[in-house]
Amino acid sequence: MQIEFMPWTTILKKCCQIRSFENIIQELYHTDIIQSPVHLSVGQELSSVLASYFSNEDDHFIGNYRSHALAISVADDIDALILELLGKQKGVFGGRSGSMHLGDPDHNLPWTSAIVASGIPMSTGIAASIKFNNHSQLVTVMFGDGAFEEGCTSESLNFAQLAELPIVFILEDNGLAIHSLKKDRTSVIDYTKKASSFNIKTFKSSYLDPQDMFSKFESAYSYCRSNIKPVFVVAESGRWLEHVGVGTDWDLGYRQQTSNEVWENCDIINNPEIVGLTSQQSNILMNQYTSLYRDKFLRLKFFQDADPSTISNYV
Amino acid sequence: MFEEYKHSDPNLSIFYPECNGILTYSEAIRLAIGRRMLLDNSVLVYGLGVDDPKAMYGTTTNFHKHFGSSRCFDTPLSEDTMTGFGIGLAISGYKPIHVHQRTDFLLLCANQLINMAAKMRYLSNGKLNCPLIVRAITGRSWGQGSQHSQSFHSMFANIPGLTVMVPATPLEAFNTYHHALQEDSPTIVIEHRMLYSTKSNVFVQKKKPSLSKISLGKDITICSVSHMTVEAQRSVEFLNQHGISADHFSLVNVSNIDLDTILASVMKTKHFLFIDHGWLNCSIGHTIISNLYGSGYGGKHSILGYQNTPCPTAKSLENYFYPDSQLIAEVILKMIGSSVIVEIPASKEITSFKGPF
Repeated sequence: MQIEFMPWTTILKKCCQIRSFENIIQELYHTDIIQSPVHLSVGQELSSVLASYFSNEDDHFIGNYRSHALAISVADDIDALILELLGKQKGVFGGRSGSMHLGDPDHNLPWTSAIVASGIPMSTGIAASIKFNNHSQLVTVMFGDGAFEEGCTSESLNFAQLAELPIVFILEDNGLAIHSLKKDRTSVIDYTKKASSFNIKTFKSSYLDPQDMFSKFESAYSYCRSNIKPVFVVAESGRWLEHVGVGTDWDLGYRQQTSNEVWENCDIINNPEIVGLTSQQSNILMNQYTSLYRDKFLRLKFFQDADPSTISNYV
Repeated sequence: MFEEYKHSDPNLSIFYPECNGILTYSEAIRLAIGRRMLLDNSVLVYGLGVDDPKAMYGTTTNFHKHFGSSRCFDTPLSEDTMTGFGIGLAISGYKPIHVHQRTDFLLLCANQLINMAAKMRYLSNGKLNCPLIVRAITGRSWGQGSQHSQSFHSMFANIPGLTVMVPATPLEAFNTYHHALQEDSPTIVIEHRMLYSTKSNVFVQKKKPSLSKISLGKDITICSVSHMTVEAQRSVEFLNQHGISADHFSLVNVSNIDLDTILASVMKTKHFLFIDHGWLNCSIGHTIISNLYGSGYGGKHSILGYQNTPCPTAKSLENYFYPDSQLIAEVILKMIGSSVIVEIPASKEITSFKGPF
């Protein structure tokens, strides 16, 4: 990890990469270029980017089915990710995983699970292997607020602290599980209090204050790395789009479009001034990456499809 | 052959210096795992109670002393997460063995086993390996009842990416672990509580057990699973006294059936009896029978297994839940048209078992 003098330049660039990538998917999805469900991260890029930013080259990651942001954050080879989404032979997993399982094993991000919270227990095993070998890496595991209702999340928090495992648990709290509001799903008011009950060090942050979010992530990673103990970070956020698919879902009536304005206003791509940058910088980056990724998607769609003769390989 | 590796590896003397190659099922498991732990630092054992005084029916005795608490350790009662923990270790280069005192608890791990472990290698296009071993023990008798007696080998064998092994003899158990611990994909091994004190010669076999030949004969082909192999062989030995003999096979690898061997036998005997240690609906027995007929077999067949009920606790009911040696012998005699009268006493390991677990 190398902390830069002007970290937000790097962070904004990465966020723009992800937003542009997702915007192109929104633009092209109706052409059936991607023939699978997609769970987009529009408006929720920052937590993945910060996780990547505060991680070292050899650290590990566990993501989830809303997979694109983390994969783009850690990957060097964006073409391999696009080819995977397109079901092509040269995709990062030969087309076997697709959008819901996107990963980058070359950067210690295994394929992600489409079963809520299922990746979280794996993080404890990876962290234990690090500890057994006296290595200095850590594991970042990212999940949503719905995952906190799964039993394995509590089990993993308990075991991580019990075994003193170097894991950064990041809960992206957008208050929604598909169309179910948090108030209808849980009696937990403050996730950090529940994590604290396992004696885990916790950090509370929000997209409403990106500068504070940066500080909280920085502190969390520093604590985990220097104490070789788990930390639990909440990143309060908003989901701008529908749960699965490329559109908005205001028409369904279960939430109001006006509720999203607060998140759009504090978004560092919409308002880079919040973090000391300019709209011009943001616009240039968005235009640059949008053009780049449109060209890539339209070029890579002509690559070789996954080979049917290999269907039984690696069972 | 047992002696050969014993001599080549003097550290084995910490396990069974006086065994002369004859081991119980429990000792064979301990030897196979302990030997791999000596040879391969990536092998570790974990699960509720693996380092306690009872040590999983003696199969992990003193491992925590021999190998340290980082290679044999107790866990929280979190079967789901501890399975994912094992997957995380496995993709990181370890060969973890997760032990469950009863097979029934595998259902708490089903998500991690089926949705994660079984798919780790496939979805990554071979970039990730997942050599996770899951040990599960099926109970029987002294009121084990409906939730301490189940065997899910057919259910898990339905899943591509999982290998399910059901060893019935010490030799099979030893070689199951000996080979599984040198592979790159997840394996579920279902042991049986009633088999731990059974004895046999144990040695290293070149291949992982698939279908073991228990006896040779001419009148009928029998294929049996787990403890039913003991019950069936008792029937065969009784019938031998009346001039009736059987090709008897123990089915060990439920995920990759050696159909050719069974087919060659049934084409000779023209009679096939499958005895499962599980329910029969959608079972491995029916799959094998279907494949035999699809491969040209035209003789008789019969199939035995659990009653189609949960396992009851009361002994009077439990006695009807499982096939026993008497029933197996009666079915064989009926199939081959013999009028021999049989009377086989109940199995000693069942009648003598006074629990508590």
